[in-house]
Amino acid sequence: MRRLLLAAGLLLTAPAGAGEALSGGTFTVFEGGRAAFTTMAPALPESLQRDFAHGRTVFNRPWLAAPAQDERFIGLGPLFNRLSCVACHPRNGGGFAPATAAEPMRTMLVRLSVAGEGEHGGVRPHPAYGDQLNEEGIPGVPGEGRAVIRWRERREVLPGGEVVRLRRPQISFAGLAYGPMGRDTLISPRIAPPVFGLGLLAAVPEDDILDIAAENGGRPNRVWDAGNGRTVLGRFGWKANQPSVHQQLAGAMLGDIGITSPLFAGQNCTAAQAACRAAFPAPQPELTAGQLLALETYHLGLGVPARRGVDDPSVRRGEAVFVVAGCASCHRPTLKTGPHPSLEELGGQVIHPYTDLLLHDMGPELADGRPDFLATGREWRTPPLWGLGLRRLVEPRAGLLHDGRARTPLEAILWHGGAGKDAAAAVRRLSRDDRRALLRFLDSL
Amino acid sequence: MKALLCATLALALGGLAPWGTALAADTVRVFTSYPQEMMDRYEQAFAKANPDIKLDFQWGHGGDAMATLRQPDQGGVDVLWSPALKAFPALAREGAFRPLGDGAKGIATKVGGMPLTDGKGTYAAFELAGYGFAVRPDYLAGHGLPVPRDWSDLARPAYAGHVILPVPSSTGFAPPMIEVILQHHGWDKGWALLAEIAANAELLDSGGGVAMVNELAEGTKGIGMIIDFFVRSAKADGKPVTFVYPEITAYVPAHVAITAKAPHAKAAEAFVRFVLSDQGQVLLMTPEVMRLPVRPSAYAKAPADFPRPFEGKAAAFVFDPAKGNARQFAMTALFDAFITSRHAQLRDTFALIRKAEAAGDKARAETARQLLTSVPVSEAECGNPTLNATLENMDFEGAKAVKAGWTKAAAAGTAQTLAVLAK
Ligand code: HEC
Ligand code: HEC
Repeated sequence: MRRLLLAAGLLLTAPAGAGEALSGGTFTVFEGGRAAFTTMAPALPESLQRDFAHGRTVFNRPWLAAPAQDERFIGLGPLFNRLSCVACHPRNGGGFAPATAAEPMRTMLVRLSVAGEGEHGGVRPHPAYGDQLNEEGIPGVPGEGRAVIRWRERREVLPGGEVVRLRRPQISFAGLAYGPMGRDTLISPRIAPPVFGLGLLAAVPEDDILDIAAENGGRPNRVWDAGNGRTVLGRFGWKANQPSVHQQLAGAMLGDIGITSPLFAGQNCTAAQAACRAAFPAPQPELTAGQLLALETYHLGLGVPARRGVDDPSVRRGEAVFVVAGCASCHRPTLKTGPHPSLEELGGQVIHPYTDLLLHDMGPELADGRPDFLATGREWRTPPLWGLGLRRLVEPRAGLLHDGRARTPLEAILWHGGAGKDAAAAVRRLSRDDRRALLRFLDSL
Repeated sequence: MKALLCATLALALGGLAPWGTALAADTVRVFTSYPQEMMDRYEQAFAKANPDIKLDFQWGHGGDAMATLRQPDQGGVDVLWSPALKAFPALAREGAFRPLGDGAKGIATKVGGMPLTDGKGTYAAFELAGYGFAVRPDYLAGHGLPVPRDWSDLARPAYAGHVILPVPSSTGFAPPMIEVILQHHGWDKGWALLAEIAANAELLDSGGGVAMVNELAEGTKGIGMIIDFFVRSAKADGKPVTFVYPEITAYVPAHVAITAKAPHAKAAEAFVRFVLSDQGQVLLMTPEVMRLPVRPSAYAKAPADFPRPFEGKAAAFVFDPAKGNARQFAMTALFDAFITSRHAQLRDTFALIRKAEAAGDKARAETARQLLTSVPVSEAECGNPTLNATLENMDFEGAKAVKAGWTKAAAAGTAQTLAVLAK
């Protein structure tokens, strides 16, 4: 039945060059509205659909502090940022930065560390605050403090007279509860990225990614795979500092909500946080193996929205501009997936994610100065652009770039420095019509 | 960049945040079981209206709300804001709340003939949600089926295989919906009707309203028995479903109250004032919330096709939620014994009864239907408080024994029915 529906969907909506619109291969969904990032891919086998639904609940459900009657979702904190995954990833879409210093970070967090290399080549966590500022605590455990964002804005005038306002964040802290942060602390503010299509990206063969690196000068990150005890290619997070969907999810549970799991057992309290260490214990692990598996099935099974308007002449023209300006060298339009270790259906797909999963030096203005495994303080992973045109439909405030400074794709492009500088310069030189065509193309993704 | 960040940092560390420190002066701790998206909607709007109050949510269902508010310090909670139909009257009786302040002025206290609170002013309704059918019109048209108009329509043979019925022991929104049928049709007829609807239906025992709507959107079933907001919200997302209110239905309220020991009483009053204000009530109509306001003036801003529970003639049927609350544990256990435990047999046996009916064997069909659908527990027994206390925790031996007895009685009914049909 489901396959039948997919076929019908294709007939109804797919234009002549059908393949181009199918951003996620057989994991493509035809949802152009607010449900674009929350819809199950038709290719997910029937036998996994119950698990997928369970994973959806785990992603959306707020957690409770122990003790509580609700047995399946207890163990919040002791320190945390938000009560649920969906709080930062609204409808599985991207987050945004606060507009003013008075607004809290609702869908964003600040990574922390001190200089030097930590365990397995990763960051060295801050001795009092760990590797992420947890603004909230359960009753009796003081939250760590507030990260405050303040914008400095400049104007840029493009050929044809269009004015673009570019804002750059400055971060400071207020109400720090566990002593001073210290001058040497490295800080990196990051908004939540969208979370669909990750199973397909996990299935892109490593050799293909390394071939692209040889071609475009990008660098793979090499990160610690905690479950298997070895260093492997990093694929997820703004600096490709997570090796797998599984580890990314368990890491988010602990780091963002304070939920232990079979992969990460210890609570997220540092030595300096006595109340945190003494908090009432919930049964361990707080996230069961079954819940973690369901959460993973959910992420692997989410569909990628199909492109819209691929045959529109100005979209076509924009696509050509995208290539000529050099965007496609990093934002790779087409990749092929190889075998996926747990979900066979993800393999053998032609996908259009517009990423190379590699790190690139993006220049001093985007730099956070905080290395993460092999990623330097100036490097970021090329983010996928699939679904870009739907992000603001899903979350009206969704931001772009790692710290959410860009409010539009044009702003994001103009911030490209370092290895992306020439591409940004090319866009600055475009005629107004070509620029519009480029943006129309991005909107069709 | 790093140098710049450090410089700002140093300023902040020196105690001189260079702009208003943005640390709110007051906080309010609100206990709720609303979905994240709805909490976020209200948090952002409340922050705009009250920039000096930080809103902290603590999340949990009714049981946890009651446990928390029964602690000596009421868990530090200021406000209970939740669709927890049982918790509010119970806690109010125990003196857990203080008067609401002026925020509740102009809020409806009745819908149709049904009172929305205990009338003592320590808690107020905040929103309503109504029960009915999630319908996929193209599916029904494809199967040549009309849109159902009342609950009893779902028991008609034509709907066999097209309905989803949620199991009330595992679906939070379902118990009052089952109660609507039991209270409207009466105990015996109500259970008979539920058994026949179940025979037509797939039973949904996990995933709740979201799972049900997804199943409809995927085209596997055409009708779901559900609470309205899941469906109207999914429709706003572009899913091919619509919601139909049956001729007889009930609207159940969610409530808001301030705890007796609220550490931040002033901020709590501000929160209550906000959620009950025109602004807070109109927020209910946004696509991600889709609940029904209880401030009648808020409907002035509603689109034409928005439901209007306060208009039109007051329904002759007055739903009594207290009755359902008092027997909820017994009712859900009985549902599992009488329906869930023999779901497949119900389907097969009703098929035989309908066959006999179609073949003109009316008397036999009538006897069989009578045997299959006669509920083994009387209404009075189901309302017994001791029995309900026993059945509150189904892990206890006592509870298991009671349910096992009912399950056996239901199975015996099936066997008798089959014997009659086999004669
Ligand atoms: C406080 C906000 C916040 C919460 C809560 C949160 N996330 Fe995230 N999430 C982020 C940020 C920020 C990133 C990027 C992290 C980085 O680059 O270091 C991220 C990254 C991710 C990614 C990787 C996406 C990609 O394309 O690389 C996934 C998957 C993810 N989160 C899932 C989850 C899950 C599951 C939960 C709940 C356990 C969760 N998140 C909770 C903010 C959050
Ligand atoms: C050298 C590689 C490279 C090139 C060339 C490049 N980009 Fe990017 N792009 C990136 C990286 C890396 C980021 C993330 C930077 C950050 O978050 O600070 C990014 C971010 C973006 C974003 C924001 C995406 C998001 O999810 O936040 C958009 C939009 C974008 N690029 C479009 C373009 C366009 C259009 C071009 C061509 C004009 C282009 N890029 C050229 C590497 C590149």
